[in-house]
Amino acid sequence: MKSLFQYELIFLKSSKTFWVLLGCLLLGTLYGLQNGRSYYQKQVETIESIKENDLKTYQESLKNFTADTITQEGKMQFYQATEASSAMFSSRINVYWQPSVLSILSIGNRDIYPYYQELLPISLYMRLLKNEIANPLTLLTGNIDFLYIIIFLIPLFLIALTFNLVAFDKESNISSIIEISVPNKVGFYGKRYLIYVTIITIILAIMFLIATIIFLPKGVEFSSVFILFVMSALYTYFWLGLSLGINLLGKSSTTNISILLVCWLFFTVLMPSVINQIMINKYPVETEKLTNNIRRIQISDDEREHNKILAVFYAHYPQYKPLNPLKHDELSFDKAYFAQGQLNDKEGDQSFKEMIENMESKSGFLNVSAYMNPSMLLQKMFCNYSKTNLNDYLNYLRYVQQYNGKVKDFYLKRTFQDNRITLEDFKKNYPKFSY
Amino acid sequence: MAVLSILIKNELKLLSQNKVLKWLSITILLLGIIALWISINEYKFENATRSYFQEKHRRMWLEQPPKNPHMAAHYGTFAFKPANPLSLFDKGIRNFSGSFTYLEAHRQNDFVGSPAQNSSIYLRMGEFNLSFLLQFAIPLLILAIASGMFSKEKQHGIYSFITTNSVSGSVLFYAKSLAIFSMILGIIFLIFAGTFFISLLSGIDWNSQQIGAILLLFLMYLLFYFCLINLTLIISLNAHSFKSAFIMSCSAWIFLFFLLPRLASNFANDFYPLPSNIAFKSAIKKDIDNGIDGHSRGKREEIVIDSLLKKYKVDSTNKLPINIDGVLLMKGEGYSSTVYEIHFKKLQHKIFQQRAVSTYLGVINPFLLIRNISMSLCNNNLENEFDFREKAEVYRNYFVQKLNENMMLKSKEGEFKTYKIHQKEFNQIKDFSYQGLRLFQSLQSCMIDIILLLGLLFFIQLFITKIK
Repeated sequence: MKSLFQYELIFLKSSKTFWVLLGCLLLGTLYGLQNGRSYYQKQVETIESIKENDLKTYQESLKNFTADTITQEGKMQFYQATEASSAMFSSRINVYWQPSVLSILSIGNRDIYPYYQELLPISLYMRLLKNEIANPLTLLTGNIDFLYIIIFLIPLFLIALTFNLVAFDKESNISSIIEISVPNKVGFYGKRYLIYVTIITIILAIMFLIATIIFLPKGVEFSSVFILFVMSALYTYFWLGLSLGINLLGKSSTTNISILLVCWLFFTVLMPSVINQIMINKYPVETEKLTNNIRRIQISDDEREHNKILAVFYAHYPQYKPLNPLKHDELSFDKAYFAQGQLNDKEGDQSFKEMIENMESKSGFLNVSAYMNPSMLLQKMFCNYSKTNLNDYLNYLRYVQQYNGKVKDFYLKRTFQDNRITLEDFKKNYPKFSY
Repeated sequence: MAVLSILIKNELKLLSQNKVLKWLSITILLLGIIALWISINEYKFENATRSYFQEKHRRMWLEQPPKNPHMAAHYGTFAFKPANPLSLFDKGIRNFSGSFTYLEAHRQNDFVGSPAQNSSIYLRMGEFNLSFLLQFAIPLLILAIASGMFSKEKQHGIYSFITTNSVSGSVLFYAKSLAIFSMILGIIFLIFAGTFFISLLSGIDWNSQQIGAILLLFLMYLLFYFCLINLTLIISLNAHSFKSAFIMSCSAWIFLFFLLPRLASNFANDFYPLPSNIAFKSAIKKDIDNGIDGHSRGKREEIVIDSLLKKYKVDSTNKLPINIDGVLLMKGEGYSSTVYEIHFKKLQHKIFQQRAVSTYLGVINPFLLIRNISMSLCNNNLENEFDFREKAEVYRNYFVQKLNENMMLKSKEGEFKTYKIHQKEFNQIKDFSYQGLRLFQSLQSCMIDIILLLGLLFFIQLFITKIK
């Protein structure tokens, strides 16, 4: 075993191809990590600027509670803060989806999914799907990140190193000597493959160390990085195993590399894309359905219409129904407007639920299919840890939906009670966003 | 010429015995059938959905209760990107761009509902459709056949025997090249003709522009494959063995088809970074806030009012023959649209700069060229995307200003709550309808790519003629 190891090492040491490929791989790793980090930083910076603006708006809102009501401007500010119906009209809700530090390793779909929104308490769906500015052409092409190097390039590196491990001996006419001198051919080549297992494990360890020490921020969960390292190692062992199996078929080196490349194309591109496309077909998502709830709410000044809307609203939300309804309510328009907005959002919730169910069914099936394909499985693992997959996006949307519901409830309760918000009430009861 | 045709026949005979070619061709055709089935279903679904919602929102527009014109402008409508049958051949950026937008007064809303936004991460591992087969699988087939054509003969000494006995190297090269080309021609003819006729049978209508685009696309793919066949043969000719020719071709395929496009896209993002949506919107808001918004009465509004009072020689806005609110709304809309246009043009310029990176890299990568040509001819490229956005914005301006004009001419100041228009007036606003770019415009948008592809082909031919 020791001499075999030495032989293989001497062979690799003298191989220019090995060093060139290794150099390219490490350069690619550095580039992928740098790319992932700059993407992560850009998103963090954007979110930070939103948070800053949000804080400013919050502080201004607090100031408005104590605005000088002698001046016209101060009076307006005071009413906008303390009258629930006015506050609801002018309120803006900033929500954001903080990227996980592990998204430095795998950008996933973070460049496609919206990660921040400015919402209004009502008409949630008008703004929920608005997205970051991006060039669709670069989105189509995709990114080079750390995961890309592992899923796409490492298998190629291994194929290049091992496609002729058995065939080389045969083509150099030394296989007969080997057959005489070793008792078990499979065992002999298996041991030689173990050397490659060791080499690739070391290379992966170096890659993960570079990622952890240089690119990932301090305090990153070591256990997650370790699990990803183990999964990546298992993935590379799959490719080495496949290469050994194909080598042992005893075909020529050209046949071996052809089969291995077809396998690479099959596992990394063809199978995921075919399954994904079939699932898109099976579970189509009609975002267009939400257009019914994106449109701006409009109601007339007719009090009879307001009463009609409010009757439907109270039937759905009895908690807001006043115990002693006024004969002539000055806030009739505002209340009916918000009620209509809430009923519209409720209808939107149903369409949105159907959309999400379809997306989840699609995602669920794809995640199960991933167990048939190591490339898909590794992609799934990385995206799960870096929270860059569809399920993470849907969780974020669900949270936003709930949070929006809480903010809406805060204003609706007060609008339908005494239409008042006090500073204490606002400080204590206004829902905080934390996702 | 006679020698060339004998040589081609001989090469074709050899190719017909090639098992790799046979099995890969069958696999590609089978995959083509699956891709076509999926694409036709997708197209039909998209077409039915978009048409349904476009009609529904038109109905909603017409059936809205009587209201003030400006309120109707706020109620707004939607512009849906129509389904495009050419997407059967190449979807281009379609999955990554929004499919509809809400059109209303004062605001240019984002285009939302991109299919990618609803997709899982596996979408990024590749999209399975005809363009995948045409741009990835067939080049792989070419590589598998062509990389061994010279190297094997050189290994066995046949090449020097033939070239020293009256047949020049370039003639032999063309014989091999044309033989492979005729096989590929057969395969892509089957794909194109099959797609066209199956889609016809499944009820998809093609207009003359689209048929022209398909024919041109067919021609462009032929040029691309001819280029690729020759490049692989050049590698095969210069390699010392079949193995090294094959490995070199494979490496080139991986680099050109998988790595370089992503590198180009990442570099483009680094060189020409796009602003965040929040920064983009705040810059527009800042500029609009300093102008006329149509609802408030600031300095600029006062200038407009003064000029009108002078023009009509009256001392108060309620004595004007037109409604001042309508005038200010029209001015405000015009102003915000101009501001938006200026900012959007800047953004558009940056996006085109990003694309230019991959266009110029096309000099060394024919894949990038055919990708751009294909998505352009299939009306699914950036130009089409921007054209749709522009037309939607033109329509938004049209209906909002038409309604503001109605308010300005037919109502008086202070009649906002009492002056109302009805279905007759709503009906006078034409519905939004969009036709993609004409074939000539699509061709214009990929002219550089076509010229570069032809240039590449020309240089390859120069090289071939020098082979002895």
